Amino acid sequence: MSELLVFDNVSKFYGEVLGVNRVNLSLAPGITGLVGPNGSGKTTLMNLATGLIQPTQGTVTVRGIPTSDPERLFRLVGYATQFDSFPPGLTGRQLISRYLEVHGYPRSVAQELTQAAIARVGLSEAADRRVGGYSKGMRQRIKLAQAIAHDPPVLILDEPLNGLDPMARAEAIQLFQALAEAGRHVLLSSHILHEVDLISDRVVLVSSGYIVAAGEIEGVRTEIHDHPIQIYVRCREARHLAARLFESDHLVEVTLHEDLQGLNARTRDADRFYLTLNELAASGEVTIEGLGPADEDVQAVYSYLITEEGASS
Amino acid sequence: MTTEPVALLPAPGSPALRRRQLRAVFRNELARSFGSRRAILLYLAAFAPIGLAIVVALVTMLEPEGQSPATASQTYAWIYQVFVLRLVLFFGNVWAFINLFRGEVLDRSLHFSFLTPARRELIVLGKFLAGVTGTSLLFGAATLVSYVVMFLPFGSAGLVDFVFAGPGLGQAAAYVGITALACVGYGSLALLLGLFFTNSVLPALVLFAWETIEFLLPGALKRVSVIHYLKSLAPLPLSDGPFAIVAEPSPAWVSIGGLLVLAAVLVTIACWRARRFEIRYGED
Repeated sequence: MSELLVFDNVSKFYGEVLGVNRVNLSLAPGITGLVGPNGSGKTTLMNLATGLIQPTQGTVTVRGIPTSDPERLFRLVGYATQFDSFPPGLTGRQLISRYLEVHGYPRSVAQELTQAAIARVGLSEAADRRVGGYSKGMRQRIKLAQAIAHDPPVLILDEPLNGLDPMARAEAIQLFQALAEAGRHVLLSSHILHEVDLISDRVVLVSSGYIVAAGEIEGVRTEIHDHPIQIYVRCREARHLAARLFESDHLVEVTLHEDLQGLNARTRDADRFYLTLNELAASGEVTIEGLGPADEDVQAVYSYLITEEGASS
Repeated sequence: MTTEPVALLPAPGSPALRRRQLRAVFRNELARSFGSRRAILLYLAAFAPIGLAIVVALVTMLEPEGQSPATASQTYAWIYQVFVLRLVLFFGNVWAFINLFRGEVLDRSLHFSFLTPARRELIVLGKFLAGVTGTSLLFGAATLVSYVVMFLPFGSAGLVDFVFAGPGLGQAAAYVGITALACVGYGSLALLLGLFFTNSVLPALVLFAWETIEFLLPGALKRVSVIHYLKSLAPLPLSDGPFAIVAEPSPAWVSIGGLLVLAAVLVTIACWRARRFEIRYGED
């Protein structure tokens, strides 16, 4: 079988501005996460993969079909774009149904497929309301419904979790996993590394228009694990916690909060850090009031990877 | 549904599929262009000649002396050629056809059409046909109603007599036909403007200026304007004034054929442009 999605020496310039440069990438089936900070080139890659923009140089194919052949391409591909805009005045149901008719489905089939897609993203109750009145989360879901309505084998989803509340986010992740289990191939983008880590089999890191790293998630995660990450912890026994944490070899630095009711810790191994923290909490030595990543912004990881790359070359 | 959805579609590229897709694009575009708020301007423009005809009819009823169906017919010829043809049909069609694509770019919703398995040429054609159908029906109806209103002061007997026993029916049919051709000609030009220019106002005004000075142009250049062919089809020829450069009107077959060929060429260029059109709303 042809590779799912192939970028062959693809560059895209917007006038003088670089979109992406000399991208060579072959994506295999499964769930692939495209990760990068805002403006890194993720959307450019997705728009190139769906022919919404054309490469300045190189070619893009999906299962061997060039993106200049929409008749065959969009039987295979469903794309939920990042554009948060819709034809005015349409209800969610009309939005999906009308464009399914442009696919060539008879009206009755289009309506049936629309109903199934809307139910799948949990929007049945709001289907007959105008999309203009939807919340951000509902708009994300209707875009997702529009992408999956014709049951394409390849799904391209640009920041599909943006704007979803935790419950909807969990449901969306379940849906992606169910689609992958059903043999669909999903390429999704995010600027939040943690999200992609949860969902993807493979990850492609993009920065400033270049592919920084690509491969199985474990390999990239190992690289990322070498990068110290910062975690904040709120607890009354911050000094004691700091002392206990310093007994671990993965800890790089601890900074106490000004009110002494918490700390920021930099660690080379987040898993072991959380394990230690669990043990301390379970033993009653510290009472954790809150914790979370202080710099899980993927930009930090890129900076690290790029610097490492630069330092080693 | 147990069957794979794609199995319910005709083969890619088959005439059956393309007919279905064309119908769907056509229906969607009719609903979008003529059923949305943006269409209010079109309806107002279409009402303008009817409003003007009502005013003229009222004046005729108040001062009937010297008025007859023949004078009303002559007055309508002026209204049609000076007001309807040069202003209402030009700007109405420019507004409607520029918005076929530019309107969707402004709404940031064009990508929905481009993400369907339909050739972009087919999308252009479907939109253009919807534009021609919608504007022809709207402005054609407005032309017919305004024409009829002009003869109301002469009573139903006078109207029936002028229409069925006189030249009325032929004139009305000619005006409606010219209106439809204006929609095709100006529509295809405006379609192209909407695809080539982010801000189509300036090129539309340049086009308007060219069409307006047509009567001052030498014969060869007159033939590079749409209005020349439309005027050639008018049932009652009018003088363009003392400064006009007079040229022979083109024969009907040249006018009709020429406008249809022009539209075909412009729509072909629009298809070529649409194939290369990039969705980059941020820069539009």
